[in-house]
Amino acid sequence: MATASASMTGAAHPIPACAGIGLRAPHHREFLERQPGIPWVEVHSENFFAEGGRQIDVLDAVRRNYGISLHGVGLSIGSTDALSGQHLKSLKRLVDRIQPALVSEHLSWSSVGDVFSNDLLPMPHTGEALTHFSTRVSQVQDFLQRQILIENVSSYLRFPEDSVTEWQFLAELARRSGCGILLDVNNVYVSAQNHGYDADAYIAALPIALIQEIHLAGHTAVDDDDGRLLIDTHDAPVADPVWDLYRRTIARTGPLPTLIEWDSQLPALDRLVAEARHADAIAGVPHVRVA
Amino acid sequence: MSALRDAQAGFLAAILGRDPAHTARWPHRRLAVYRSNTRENFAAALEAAFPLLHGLMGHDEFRAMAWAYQRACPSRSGNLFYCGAGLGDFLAAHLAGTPDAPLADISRFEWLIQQVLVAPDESARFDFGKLATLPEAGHGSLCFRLHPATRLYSSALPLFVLWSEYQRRGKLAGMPPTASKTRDDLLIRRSGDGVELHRLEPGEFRFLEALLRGECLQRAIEQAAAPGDTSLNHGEVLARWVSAGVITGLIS
Repeated sequence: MATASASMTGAAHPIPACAGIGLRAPHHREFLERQPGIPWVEVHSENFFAEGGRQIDVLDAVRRNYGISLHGVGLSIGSTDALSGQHLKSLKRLVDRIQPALVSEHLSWSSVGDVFSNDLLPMPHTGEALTHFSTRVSQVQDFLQRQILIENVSSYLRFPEDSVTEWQFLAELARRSGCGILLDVNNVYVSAQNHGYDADAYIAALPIALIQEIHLAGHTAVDDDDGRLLIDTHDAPVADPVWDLYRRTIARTGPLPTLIEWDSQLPALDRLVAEARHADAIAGVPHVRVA
Repeated sequence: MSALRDAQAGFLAAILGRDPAHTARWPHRRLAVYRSNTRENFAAALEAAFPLLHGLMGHDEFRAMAWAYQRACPSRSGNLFYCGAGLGDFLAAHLAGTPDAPLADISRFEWLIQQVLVAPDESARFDFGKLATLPEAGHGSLCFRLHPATRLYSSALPLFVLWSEYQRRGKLAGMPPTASKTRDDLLIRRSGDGVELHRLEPGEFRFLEALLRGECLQRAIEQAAAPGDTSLNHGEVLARWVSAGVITGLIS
């Protein structure tokens, strides 16, 4: 059973400004056997919090040839509950072991009174929430001794207390805390459709230099008497309007590490790789093979 | 309480359906997306961790059980892995005296499997050289370390058969007969991508159980012995599980 630390397995691979894929458990074996020609993958941090066993062995093996991004879904940074010391320690242990090129979490919260929804709930966009979130991001970065990226989430509701827009909130958060921005273009599109704002204006308002990664994913449209609601389901190909928004985003930012996220009803691994290559073609970057 | 905490508490209460006043503040259809995510994420995590239970109950009944469990014992961690920790106690309390009572036993067994899957690695092998340096007269006071990814479980249910059937077919035909007079005394250990089960003799099970509790060798031998039963060869048992990497060292 491999227990090698990161220092024993060599330096971490960097993540180039091209497309990678989200690596999920059903694809682990095939991925290691076939070593697909993409330069990097992203995994959910919490799936590798175990202190031993097969999962962490897989990640050790993947990191030998691929850049790694650790993407957290459970830290609940925006909650007014105390940050979980256990969660932070598990994340730090994983970061120290894997030495990922990127570490990210969400502009969200999920608990009150230590009762968790385990969903990515939207933050109220208020001055108090901004101060709170900025402080918490700084705490996480201090603990991990590195910068993290914060990702905008899809939302279906907005708080009546909101006093600034989400893009103003995100930009100011990055400025205050020194975090980077993980721009989920699909989430921008979904939220813009659901709340009736301009997705391009959202992206145009963000400080380009702070955007370090992009996410692309599929969503689902639900139509009923109340109109159309888009839901961020991660169970489908990237929709054409989201590809178009990505094209306009990249025209503004230049090529960036771009992730194809697909979490439910996973397709064949080849399909994910094809989506990544499509993203590379849009960004006009040459396809980068694994070393 | 801060305005932010007030806002979050009200929103979570609405999602969890705990307060009609908070629920009424939000458009039903949009709130339902968060409600659905909260329920589905929880149920999906349980489904992944309890495949036997899911197979025996069927999808719809399992989902209904998962949501009832979530209402009684909501997630207390940002890591959904831990949401199954209390399922055995929940089912034991809610199914006691019903024909489904054995499901609590199955859920406890499956939670041990989950613990085995994520337990720390242990690369050390038993150091026979160190043992040789210790005076034989003191061997009775030795305590042994078992691999962290090892658990023992005793059940009146035919868990070994059930697990083996699920591994072979990926599904279950139903609960096997439980009329057996003997218990399934199982050792669960990590192996490759998953776990492997070993069915133990009762004396061997009690012996390893005592070692796992940290009892010294002499005490473990005493606790393993059934009245009138002298058949357990402790030396053989130790040698077998040292060789298999289950007993990994001495506790100094």
